[in-house]
Amino acid sequence: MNSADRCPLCAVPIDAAAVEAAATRRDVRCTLCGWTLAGPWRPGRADRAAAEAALSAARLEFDLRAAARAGDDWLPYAPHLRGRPAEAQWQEARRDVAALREAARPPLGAVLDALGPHRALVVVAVEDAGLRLFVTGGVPAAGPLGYRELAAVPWSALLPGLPRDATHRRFQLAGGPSGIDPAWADATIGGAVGDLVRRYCTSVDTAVMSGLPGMPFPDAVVRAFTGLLPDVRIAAGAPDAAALLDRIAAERPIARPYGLAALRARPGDGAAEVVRLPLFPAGARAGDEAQVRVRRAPGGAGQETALAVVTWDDPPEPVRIVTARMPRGAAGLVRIALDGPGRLRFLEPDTVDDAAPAWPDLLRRVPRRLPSAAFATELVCVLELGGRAETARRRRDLVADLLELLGDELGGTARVAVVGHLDHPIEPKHKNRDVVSGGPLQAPDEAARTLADLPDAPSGPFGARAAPLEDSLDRAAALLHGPRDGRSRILLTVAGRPPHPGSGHGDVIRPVEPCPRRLNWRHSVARLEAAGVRLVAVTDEPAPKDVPGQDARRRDDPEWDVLGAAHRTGLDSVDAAGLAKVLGVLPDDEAPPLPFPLVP
Amino acid sequence: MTEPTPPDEARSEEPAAGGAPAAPPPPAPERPRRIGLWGAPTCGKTTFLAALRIAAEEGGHDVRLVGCNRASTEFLADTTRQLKIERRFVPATRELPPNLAWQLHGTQVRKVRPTEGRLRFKRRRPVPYTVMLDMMDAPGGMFSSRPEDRATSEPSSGLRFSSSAGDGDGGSGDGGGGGDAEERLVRHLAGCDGLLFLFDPTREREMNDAYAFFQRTVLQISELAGTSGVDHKLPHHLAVCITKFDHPEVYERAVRLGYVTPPASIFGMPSVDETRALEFFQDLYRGTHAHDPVNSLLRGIRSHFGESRTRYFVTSAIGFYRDPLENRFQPEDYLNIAEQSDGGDGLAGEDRFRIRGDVAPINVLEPVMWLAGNVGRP
Ligand SMILES: Nc1nc2c(ncn2[C@@H]2O[C@H](COP(=O)(O)OP(=O)(O)OP(=O)(O)O)[C@@H](O)[C@H]2O)c(=O)[nH]1
Ligand SMILES: [Mg+2]
Repeated sequence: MNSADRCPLCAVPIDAAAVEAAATRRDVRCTLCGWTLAGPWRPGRADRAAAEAALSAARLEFDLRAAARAGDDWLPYAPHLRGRPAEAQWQEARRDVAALREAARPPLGAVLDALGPHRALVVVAVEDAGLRLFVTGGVPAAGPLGYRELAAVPWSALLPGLPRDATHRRFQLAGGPSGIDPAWADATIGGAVGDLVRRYCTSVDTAVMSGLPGMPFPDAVVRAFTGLLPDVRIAAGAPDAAALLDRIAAERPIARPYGLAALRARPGDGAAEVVRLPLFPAGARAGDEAQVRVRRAPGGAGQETALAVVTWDDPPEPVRIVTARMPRGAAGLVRIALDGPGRLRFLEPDTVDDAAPAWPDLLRRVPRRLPSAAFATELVCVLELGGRAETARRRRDLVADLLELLGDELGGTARVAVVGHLDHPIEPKHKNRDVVSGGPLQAPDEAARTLADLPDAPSGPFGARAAPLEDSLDRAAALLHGPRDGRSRILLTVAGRPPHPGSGHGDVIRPVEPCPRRLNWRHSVARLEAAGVRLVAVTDEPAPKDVPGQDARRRDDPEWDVLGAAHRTGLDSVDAAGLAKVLGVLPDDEAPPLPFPLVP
Repeated sequence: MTEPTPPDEARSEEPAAGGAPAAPPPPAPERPRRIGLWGAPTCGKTTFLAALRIAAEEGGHDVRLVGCNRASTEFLADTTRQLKIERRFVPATRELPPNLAWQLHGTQVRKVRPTEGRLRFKRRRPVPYTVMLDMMDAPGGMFSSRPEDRATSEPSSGLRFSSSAGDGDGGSGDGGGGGDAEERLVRHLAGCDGLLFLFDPTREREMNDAYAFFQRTVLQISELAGTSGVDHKLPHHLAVCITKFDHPEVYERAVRLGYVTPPASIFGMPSVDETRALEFFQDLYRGTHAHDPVNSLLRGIRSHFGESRTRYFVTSAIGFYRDPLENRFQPEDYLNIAEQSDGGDGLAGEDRFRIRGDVAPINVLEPVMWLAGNVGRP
């Protein structure tokens, strides 16, 4: 095909003979660009020069429009321009192209919203390199709302004859002179699109988005899809469809709720079970934040635990699993930001490690029953403040050490109340004075402060036989009541003297005055026992049988058998660590760590 | 009898502020009734004496007890304050103090023939009387049959009466001093009209030494005292006081055996009626596993003292605790002592127990009145 067979302006092929024939009767124009190809009028020599000039101007104008469609700068396309534009010409071309821009299309996100979260969508993206087909939506709820590339078709396969060079191709896609017959182009593109539609788009919603709107061949592709798929949705294009899909996926609401895996003892049979603590409801989007409280599994501040976010499906699908150390103090709080479906950012704890065991491995590590240390502990420490000053101090020190240890090891799992009693004043006028002080059930650290604030006993002689332990026990029974709900409840009595009897004088040989408030410590113990409280006592004197070489019949106050029913030990032979073990609030070292945190 | 306290001196030191009635002062008795007191250490001798004034003035008896000299008055004042205000027991007696010379003023209803008027039949009317008491509060150890006990009871320091020894009745100011003091004590007891023997059941359980304390002293007295005019026994009247009735160990036993009189007395305080005291004494240890010292004691008492001149009392110097609000005896809270500790090896003697409430002596004045009323009669 020589140059005489093409439109001198837009270079589409023309039938020169037919043009010649028709031109005898009328002016013949290019069907594509409207250029007058020939006419009855024959220009003279002088006119020929003017005609040449007009053609050059028209060519430059034509090419500049293609360049304006192709980009914001003509320079990349300079090699393909027929002439060199003045700035005014370039601006005018841009204005012309802009005026013809097609109507704004809805963004792809809106198209997906309209579909709902569960329907899949094939997205056809018309791009510089060719077509790419993706499928998105309707994917498993757990992972990032993904998309998958189904196919990529280069322009060479859609429309043979376009240049290899990307810039040049883009120039021609934008309408630069290519010499390709539009009708042939439509037919060729239509054939290729038909193949794609048959392969990928039957019985599934399809959206077409063009990153090259207003360009003739890309528009032809869009037209081909609309022609073949009456329901096809047209979305606003983007230069890089994958990046757009990334962004859209992140902004999508989550289809299924997410929860954090945690362990609890199943009510009823007490078997260990994994439950989900709700984090994000279905419909939550990027930018949402959620927090839950968990209890750090026993095993100390150094222990790592898996924070596994899973879906509400059955069985749950893991979304993201990390390992973390639950810090002391803020213990128990897990705060997570949603960056998109399947994309989670841990805010608290602030350092997490993605090197975590897989979900099935974690499930395999769940024991049949939770160790006793895993149960939330309610501990009341009843403390005799009076007696010998030095001994009173040692009692306080023991409880202080215990609270520090519990704070370190258990954090919020343990709630501790400290209750201390002074002596009943001997002066009958003051005998009804309140002798008990202390605090509510609180975190070990706070309980330590309560302990520090407890008064010291005045110096001087004190009751030899009893102390107002019954007043403290009465307070303890008020603190530990109601359903136990799997919590372990402990009363720790750290004292030297037994309680005053509620009435009467106990032993007739070494009688003791009754409680002025007539409190019966046995009633308090009965209430404590009914509330499922274990009774542990640390007494100034060890149980006689515990002292080798000592007469086992040494008089021992019988009250300690009751108050130390679960365990009784002497003040001299116990430290905080030993005591914690006795209380059953620390895990034993042999047991493997629990995979998940605990339900608070 | 021996060494009567000069009545003149005793009267001269009697404080005038006794609240003497408008009636003419009762005739002074010819001589003081000497009442001797003995019993094992800590059996409650000094507390008994200290409670005597409280018993006299607050026990509904309408009698007054006043000292006849400075030391005797101070003893009354000090011990009353300690028991009532400080609620502390008196210190253990360390050495033989000077005699206590007291006057007991009271009235007694008697049939008397009016001295004037036409009808001179005998009529029942209150007659004022005064009994002079001459008592000695010895450390219990001095009655021991074991020489080492007697030695430890006489330390050279800790004279309770040392500050006032100079004011004491002449000749008896030599406090401790081994043989001298013992001789003085025995001579005092031998010369007494009436004797109070205090038996502490709570001590007996542990120490089992009441008989030893009883019999040695009785033998010493016998050496000096001669016999009664009517029988071959000692001439003394003897009041056997079972002390510390308020202590649960004693009280609960009395309740269990049915000896406690339904409380009709002041504040509803329980007591064992005088008529059943001997019986209770005999029953104290019956059926318990404890060694029963009562038989040997009773044998000793009966062989030395005329049965008609012996009486038994169940006493408590401090009485039972009364709740300040209720102000009545309450069976579920009557303990009037509170054992104290200093955290060490235990507190010494008088500091070991504090008194919880008011002191309300039981059967403390009664034996003294009985002895005072009977002295000089066969
Ligand atoms: N429960 C009770 N205890 C008493 C009573 N009287 C004395 N006591 C106790 O017995 C202890 C000794 O009493 P004291 O009166 O000092 O005895 P004492 O016989 O004078 O003793 P010595 O002077 O050592 O011979 C007191 O410290 C009290 O603990 C009483 O009436 N009831
Ligand atoms: Mg004494």
